[in-house]
Amino acid sequence: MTHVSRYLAMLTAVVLAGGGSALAQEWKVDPDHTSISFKISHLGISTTHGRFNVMEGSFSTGEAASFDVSVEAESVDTNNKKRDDHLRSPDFFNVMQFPTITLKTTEATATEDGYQLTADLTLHGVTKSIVVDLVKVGEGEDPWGGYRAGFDAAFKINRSDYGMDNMIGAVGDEVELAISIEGVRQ
Amino acid sequence: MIEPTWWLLGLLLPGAISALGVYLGLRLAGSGRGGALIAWTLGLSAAFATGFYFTAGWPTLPPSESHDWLVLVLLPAAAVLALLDASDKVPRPAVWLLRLIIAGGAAPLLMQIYLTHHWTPAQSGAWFAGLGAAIFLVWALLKRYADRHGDHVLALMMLIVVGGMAVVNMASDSQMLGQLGAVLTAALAGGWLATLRFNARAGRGLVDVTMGVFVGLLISGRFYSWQMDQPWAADLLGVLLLAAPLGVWASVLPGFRGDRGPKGFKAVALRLLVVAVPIAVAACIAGYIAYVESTQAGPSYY
Repeated sequence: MTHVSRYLAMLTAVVLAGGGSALAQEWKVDPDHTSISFKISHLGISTTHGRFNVMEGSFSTGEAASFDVSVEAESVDTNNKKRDDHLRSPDFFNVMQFPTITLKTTEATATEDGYQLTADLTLHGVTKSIVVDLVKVGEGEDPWGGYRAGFDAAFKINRSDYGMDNMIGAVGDEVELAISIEGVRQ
Repeated sequence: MIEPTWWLLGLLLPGAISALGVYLGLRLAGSGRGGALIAWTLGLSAAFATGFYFTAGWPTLPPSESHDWLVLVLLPAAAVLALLDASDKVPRPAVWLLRLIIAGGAAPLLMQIYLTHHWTPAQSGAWFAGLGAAIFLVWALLKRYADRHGDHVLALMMLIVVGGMAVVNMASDSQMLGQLGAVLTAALAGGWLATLRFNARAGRGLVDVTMGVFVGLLISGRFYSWQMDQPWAADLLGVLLLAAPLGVWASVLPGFRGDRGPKGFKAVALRLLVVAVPIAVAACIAGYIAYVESTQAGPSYY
């Protein structure tokens, strides 16, 4: 492939993958470069951070954009085994009863810097519609011949809306989530 | 961290409701076999439902979590079973068949997610058959004991069993399941106090509701909460707790009976001790595991 044709191919891919592009592109989530983290108030005096370590998903960009991510609730990690075990119990996530947390797009609108998603968040067996602003970070070829794109999102939920209302007060109700998602074009 | 109001509304109130329910039931229905069944069923059911509300809130409809199934299906089923048992018009085989269905169906009812997400059909079949058989065996033997020998002390023995399970659940990562066990413990204590005003045989009516709730909390703890690094530890705790009620039968062993057997307070203490030993072992194992894990995790993660 000549330099010119490679350049044209890259340019075409960039155009196709961009937020709001007319043509659909399918992407598979790269879990090694995707992060789903959260933070929550502790006793009203500090903030505790946590993350989920196991997830999978896919997304499509273009006119009919959608982002679907599935997270293994059991992979919750707050850097404290005893606390993580408690979080997995029926007091909180009840991970044996509700093994997955999912985010499924129901509507996506292209914005200047990404997408605004209306999505169903299913957590602890309860599904609620949320709105998430997804900001495109970038895209490009990786060193292994693939083509990648990445997005960031941050949003808040109240855990009590999802039936997780144990120990509210000591542990905050409002949870701030931050998602950094990287996908490999299929 | 338990809310201070829970001690009043989630523990003392159910205890008082149970005491009042059992007392009124025995007064109105008499302290015979049927009256004891009615009194204990009404007292324990109302007490546990109240305590459940102040501990876990309203159950979700349709039920989704195991404790929702427990309070919405298993508890009412056990209560209906006991009330049918109280009636002379219902054939005994029909009552025993219903008891078999409830005991055998408790695990599949509370563990539906295991069928679809965690176990193969063969694993599900083996576990559910084994659990159903074990639960029915314990339930049936306890019921048999209560009908033949049940007295005031039976409530104290079951109080030890249920209280021990509450401690194990609490130590094994679910405060809520531990609190629900404490609710049943308080209800048994209240009912026991009420029966002291009546003849000793008034204590025999507690088995079906107690076993229904006990089994539901035990299954919820073992299969949804206990996350020991060694699965055998969770299995051992489950076996110890489930088998503990069988200790009531020690009181009819040759050493306990007859002229040479213990009398009075000593006899009661020995009967309680037999039940308490496996419970104490289970509580110590769960407490030790919790202690080791918490020392690795830091003194307080809350």
